[in-house]
Amino acid sequence: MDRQSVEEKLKRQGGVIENFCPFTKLMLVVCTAVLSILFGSLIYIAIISAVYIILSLAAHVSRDFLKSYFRLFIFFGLMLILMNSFFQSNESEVLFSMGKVSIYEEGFYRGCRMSSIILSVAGGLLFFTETTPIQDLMVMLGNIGLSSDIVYVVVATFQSITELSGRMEQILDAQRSRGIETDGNLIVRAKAVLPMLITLLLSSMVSAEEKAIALEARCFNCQGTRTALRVYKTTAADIIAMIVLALITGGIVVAGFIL
Amino acid sequence: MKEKKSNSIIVISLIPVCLAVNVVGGNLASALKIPLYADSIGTILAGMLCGPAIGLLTGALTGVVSGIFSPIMLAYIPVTGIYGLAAGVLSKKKMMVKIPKLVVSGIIIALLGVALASPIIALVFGGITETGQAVIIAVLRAAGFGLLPATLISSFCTEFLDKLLACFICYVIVKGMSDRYLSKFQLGELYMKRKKLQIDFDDDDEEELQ
Repeated sequence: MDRQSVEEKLKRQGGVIENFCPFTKLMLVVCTAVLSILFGSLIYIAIISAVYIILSLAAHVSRDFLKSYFRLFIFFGLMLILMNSFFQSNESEVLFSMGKVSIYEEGFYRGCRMSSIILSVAGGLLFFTETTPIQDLMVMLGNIGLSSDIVYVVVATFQSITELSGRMEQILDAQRSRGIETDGNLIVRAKAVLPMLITLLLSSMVSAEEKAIALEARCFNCQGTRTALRVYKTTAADIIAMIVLALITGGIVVAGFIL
Repeated sequence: MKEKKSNSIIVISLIPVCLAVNVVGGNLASALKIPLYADSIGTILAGMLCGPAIGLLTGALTGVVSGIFSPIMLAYIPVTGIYGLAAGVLSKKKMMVKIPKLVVSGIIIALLGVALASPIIALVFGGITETGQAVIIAVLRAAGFGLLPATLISSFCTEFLDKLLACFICYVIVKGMSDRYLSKFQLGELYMKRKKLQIDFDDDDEEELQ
């Protein structure tokens, strides 16, 4: 197979949004974060959630994204608002009260603000990671001069995670067959941790050495330009999207300060 | 620092494995439903073997990698970083060579972690975590504690046990490694069975390859 057919084969099948350059998507996250710090409120939370949900639908990653986003929304979004509303009670006005429980105005707005910052940063990053394969990001970062050591470390980490999770299952089964109990009360379960983790760690240390030898055999420490299987370029669509994002953010900020 | 260049490849391949151990260890703890994180074993191991700088890097990358699975973790990058840094410094000071010293090291690492994590939990997330801690914090706050002390107290409970266990596991692992393997790492000599090693094992790999 020559290089061109390999590249053809590796060409991404994804839609418009997945094919944006990772930096464009990162810029979206930064823009929403800036806006959330300036204008965090209940309405902002609604808008930002809508934006990310629509984008994830358009990018066909909606199910995974929605699941994680929903969890984020319940655990952090709502909890932050509620906890702040109950406890930040420095004699501020009561917004709403029911029996003994009252929601305080100051705390409520504070909670909304914090919650919109967290939802837009975390939600944005969630969207980013759902739509961007990690290899893409690392190749891009490598192109703009990130050290190849770091690129390798991050890409290899994700390989190792799948590898080790598989081995973990094996070890779990093996140790169970030798009579280690993994169900029962807390002490029984805690006892299972050591034989599990130590076996896993020692075997993974061996694999680290094997990988080192493999890397050395492939001349990892050589000087000179490196080649990558995947090639990415910033397209015109990326530049347009970045300009539009910058204009929208700038526009909202300016409008917010004038009004 | 003659070995530095030849060491770096094994270090580069050790870091991803340590990172994966962190993630998988965390998954195991939650699969067995044990109230520990077990997500810093790899970081501490990297710090122990390769010194503070690599420990810090591994720790910080752990934050980044877990951040990809749950973005909330990104805020904890300083905390995961300090675990590796502390483990590296302690290992350099020979504080992880014997069990009694190891316990002290575990406590120091846990203390540093709590000291750094609590302000983050309190200030960034307003005292909310995804674990059961949120409930403890809420109860303590209702009992009249401030936000920061409440977070501190609740962190102490989990952190200590977790770090002690992590240090102990790392100690067992390092003790289980062969001298030949340990010799490849910057601080490996501290844990060798045979002291005063004269032979340069680093050449082994190169010879194998030729």
